[in-house]
Amino acid sequence: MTESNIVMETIDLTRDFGGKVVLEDVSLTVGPGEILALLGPNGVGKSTLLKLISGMLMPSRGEARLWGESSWPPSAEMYRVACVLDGMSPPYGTRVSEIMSLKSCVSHRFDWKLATSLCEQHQISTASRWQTLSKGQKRWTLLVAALASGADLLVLDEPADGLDVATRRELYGLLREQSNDRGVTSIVASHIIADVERVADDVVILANGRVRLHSPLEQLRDEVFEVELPIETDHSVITPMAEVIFSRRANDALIAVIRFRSLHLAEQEFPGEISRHRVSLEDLYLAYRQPQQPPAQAEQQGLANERSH
Amino acid sequence: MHIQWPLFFWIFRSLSLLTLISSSLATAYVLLHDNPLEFFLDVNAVVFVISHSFLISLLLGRVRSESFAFLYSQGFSRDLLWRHVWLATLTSVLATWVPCAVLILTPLRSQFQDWMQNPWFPLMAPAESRFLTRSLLFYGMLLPIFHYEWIRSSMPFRGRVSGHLLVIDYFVCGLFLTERLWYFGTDLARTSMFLGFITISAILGLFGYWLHKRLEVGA
Repeated sequence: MTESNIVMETIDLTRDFGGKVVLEDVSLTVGPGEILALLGPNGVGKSTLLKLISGMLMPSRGEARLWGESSWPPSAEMYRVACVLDGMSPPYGTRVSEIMSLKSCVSHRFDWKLATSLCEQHQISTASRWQTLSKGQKRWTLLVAALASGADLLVLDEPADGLDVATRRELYGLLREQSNDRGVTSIVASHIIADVERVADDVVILANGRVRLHSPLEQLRDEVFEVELPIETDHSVITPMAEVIFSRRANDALIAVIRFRSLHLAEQEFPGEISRHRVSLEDLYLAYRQPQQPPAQAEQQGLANERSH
Repeated sequence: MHIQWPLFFWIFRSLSLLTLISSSLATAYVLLHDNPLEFFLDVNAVVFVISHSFLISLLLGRVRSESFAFLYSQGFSRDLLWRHVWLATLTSVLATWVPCAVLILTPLRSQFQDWMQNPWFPLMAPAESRFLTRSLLFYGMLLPIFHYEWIRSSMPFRGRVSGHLLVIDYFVCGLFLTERLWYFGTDLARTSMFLGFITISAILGLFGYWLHKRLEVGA
């Protein structure tokens, strides 16, 4: 990715709160039109990362850049970013139309027609007051304001929170549409992995405030498999050709989630011996959530568990 | 200055009730007060201006509230937000004092008091215009300090310095308010005090503007 082709970039981004490091040395890049799925358990720093990107928090170290400019202190370019973040809502008594009006004065590209039609489709009148809306309607209203804003970057924290499955699909469909039509970039933090898997181009998994994985989703689909290896497999053979993400012993085999560095090499090494199948993003995420351990240790652990049973 | 009206109304909304109350109180006070209005001799007026300024800053500076974070996450530049915060502040002050100014300058107040057979009026009416200028001057001194304080106390690296400055300011303010200095001090003392106060307010106003660009939201 060339520098002029980068929408968002973080360089060694670190943030601590009162000495407790929440995010450490996060370096990412996102290009135009990409949809980046940000995954990770609760409290891992996803929301903090999104707030740092959108210029709401100051990094303790490193920086986040938007179109080449540091997002802290927030630059005049922030009008190109639309955020739907957790813990932020309009004041009591606000009308839906006021939220749209507010957004429309950020950018002259605000699409009133789109905003009105998306609200009407979900039985949200623009005259409705904020407190009269359901949880899902509130979330949808904020998403509509962001989607209709004409922003070049959407930063969404748990956008599907409170939305039913049909609305979630509609949302991700709209993200894909905006990405294809206008090259809008989206950074989406979500716990509903199956949803983001449908649209994401890139996946980032955070663990303990660090980037555990950053990869194009397509590449992961090609390279990550759950494999069943003979128990006597010499692990030093695996390591040069694959990264073992997670492994466990089951019966007389070693089940491992493996990211192949060279699938061709693996097929040569284990002709016919290796049974493998693709893993979903959800399974991959779960594999990355397990504590990392070398296969030999996993095997020993498996044996120990078996003996104790 | 380009005014974004939806943004202005959004910000001013939090001051609307306060402004309604302050305007009603100030208007009633100005109309009914039976002594000639002299700002620094009138404790009620001084307390009113301090309270009004403090409440304006308190309502606009609820940095930890969800609605504040929402507004600051909408993509407005910090400069634009800062200008509109001040515009809302100014509107609240003017909405409170313009009716008072009308009463004093037209001079409805003088006629009303004369009608009530107050012996001070209409004789003292021309001198009361100073009441307006001094109260507005007092707002001008207090508001930058209060706005600075809510921003300063929300910074991630907040320390005691802001508190100290504020205490100094209050101290100066307290001295300023002692009629002894104002009315019986030397010209040099009065001028120094006045200039000192103006300088502190101006510096804190500029610091407030600078820090507002670096205000953390939703931490």
